[in-house]
Amino acid sequence: MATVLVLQAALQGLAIGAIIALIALSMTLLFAVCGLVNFAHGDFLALGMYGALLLAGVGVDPYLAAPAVLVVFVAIGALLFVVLVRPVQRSGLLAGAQLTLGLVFILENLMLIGFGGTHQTVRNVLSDRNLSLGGLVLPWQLVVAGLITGVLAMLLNIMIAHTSFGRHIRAITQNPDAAALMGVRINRVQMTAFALALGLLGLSGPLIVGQFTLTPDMGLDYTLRALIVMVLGGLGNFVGSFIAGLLVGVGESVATLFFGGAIGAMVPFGLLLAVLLLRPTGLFAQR
Amino acid sequence: MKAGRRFATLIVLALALAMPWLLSQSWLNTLIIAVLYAYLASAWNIVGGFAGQFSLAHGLFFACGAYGSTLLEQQEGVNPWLGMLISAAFAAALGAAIAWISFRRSLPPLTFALVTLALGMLGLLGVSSSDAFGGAGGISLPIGGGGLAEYRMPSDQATYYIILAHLLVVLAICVWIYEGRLGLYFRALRDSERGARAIGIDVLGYKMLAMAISAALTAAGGTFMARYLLFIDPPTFLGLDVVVQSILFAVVGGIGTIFGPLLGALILVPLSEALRAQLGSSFSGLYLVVYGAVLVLVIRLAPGGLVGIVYRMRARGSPGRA
Repeated sequence: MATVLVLQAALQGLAIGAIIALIALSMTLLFAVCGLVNFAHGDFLALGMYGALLLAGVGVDPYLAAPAVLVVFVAIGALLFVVLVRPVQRSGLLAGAQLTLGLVFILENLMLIGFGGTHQTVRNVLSDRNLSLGGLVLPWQLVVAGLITGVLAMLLNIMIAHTSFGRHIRAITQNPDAAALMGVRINRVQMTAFALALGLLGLSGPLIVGQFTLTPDMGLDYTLRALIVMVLGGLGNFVGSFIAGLLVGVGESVATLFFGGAIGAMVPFGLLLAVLLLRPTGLFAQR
Repeated sequence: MKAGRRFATLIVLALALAMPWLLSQSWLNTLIIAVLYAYLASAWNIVGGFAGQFSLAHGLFFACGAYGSTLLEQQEGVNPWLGMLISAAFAAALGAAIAWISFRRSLPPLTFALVTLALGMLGLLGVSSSDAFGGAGGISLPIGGGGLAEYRMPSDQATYYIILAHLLVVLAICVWIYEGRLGLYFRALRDSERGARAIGIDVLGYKMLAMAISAALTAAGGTFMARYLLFIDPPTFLGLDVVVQSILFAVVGGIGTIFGPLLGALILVPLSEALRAQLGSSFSGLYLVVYGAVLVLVIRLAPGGLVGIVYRMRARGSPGRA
């Protein structure tokens, strides 16, 4: 029985870990290519979820709403980059932090105005259906959310490792000046990466929304976790971030089972602290 | 020039002292919060701006001052003013220890921010789930009784003068650090750690010192906040809000300058309050949307902060001093 419980918690953690990993990957994309730590990342995810809520109001299932929200988010990403991010980029990390913190205020409170402060849930076609495997019971939508985000994360990794766009991204990550000299159009790659990163949030928001309770201020929590996972995996290391995401998800879930929610919530921060102090380049430092 | 500056300082000081008679009750309370944040942002600026080490753990020090003075008074009967000093000393030691742990080995940039973020959040979660600190429910301080000698606020005027005194002390310390040898060392290790080490500056020691000074001052601010609110709970004192706000004020005003954080807080806090008064009745969150837009606009138009604009205007006024 105990093993079943642990296994169940681990699987649940794995699915949530995959979700966090995807958020962290898109955050890593922004950090690696644009040198921006986006504190509004979780809020954009929340916005994607509220987009699904909006469309669910007119009878569109969240799974079908995802492509529409994706398109809108790609446009928002490109616009945001051109209007706000590019002009302040040269002013450094702090300027980017102030910019995205400003966006946090704007987004959270626009959502508060638009959707109210009450807790809301969005139902989809899979709500209330469970997958039973032996003694394990997992909600279908969590399984689907975990699988989809896992696949998306893998696709992103493949793209970065094997396409020419991915090569440009890696080149900029390593040395933007040299990349520019080699003929990489930094500006265009940065804009595409920005649109892609936000697009990923717009796509995954509706796909995972069934698993969450929506409130306008839910974003910060996911921003923090994504930040932690990004660092655990080694800044700019895409595969590392993915594994770290799974690790944090499973660790938090299993620790919550054994020691309760308070200790469980401490796990990501404890992991972060331990890794930073003992192995500052991240768990999976590239040699 | 020198005399003119002294005259201007006196006028500003007289104006600050006269504020309780010029403002209505509610605006005086806004001003108290603004001055508190000016104090906190200036204290953070010593380590975050002067020395360039981006600490996100200041919630811990803030809470040290609040919880330390309160628990010492309630359980050991220690006078809160003495409790404030003890908590500040403890916070200084804690800050130095955090800096030592983080900088013992040279770490990649951004790491200090993340270490302190993790420590701050662990502190929040730990205190929230610990009965010794009143848990998530917080601790109430008794209302009334005693006077200023027991750090009880007899009136809003007194409250204002206490926090104004705090602010003047921190500004004096900032001027003293910035214009002295210490400020030179801090800026040297901020701008080039390797260079600073090469000319014989004890980099680790001065980082610990910057953190300790900043932490002790922040703790005293925490004691004030506890005496002002008469209630302490983990989210208010340990949450990311206080430190993020302090950093925002410092950045908007001009990070690493003496008066930038002061300027940022004195403009943004009343602005947000005025926006709330104007817009709060129609939509509950609208004033924060506008507030966020102001932050975005300022960074878009004045990346060097508000102090940067002043300098630029002055440079334009007197050519050849750019």
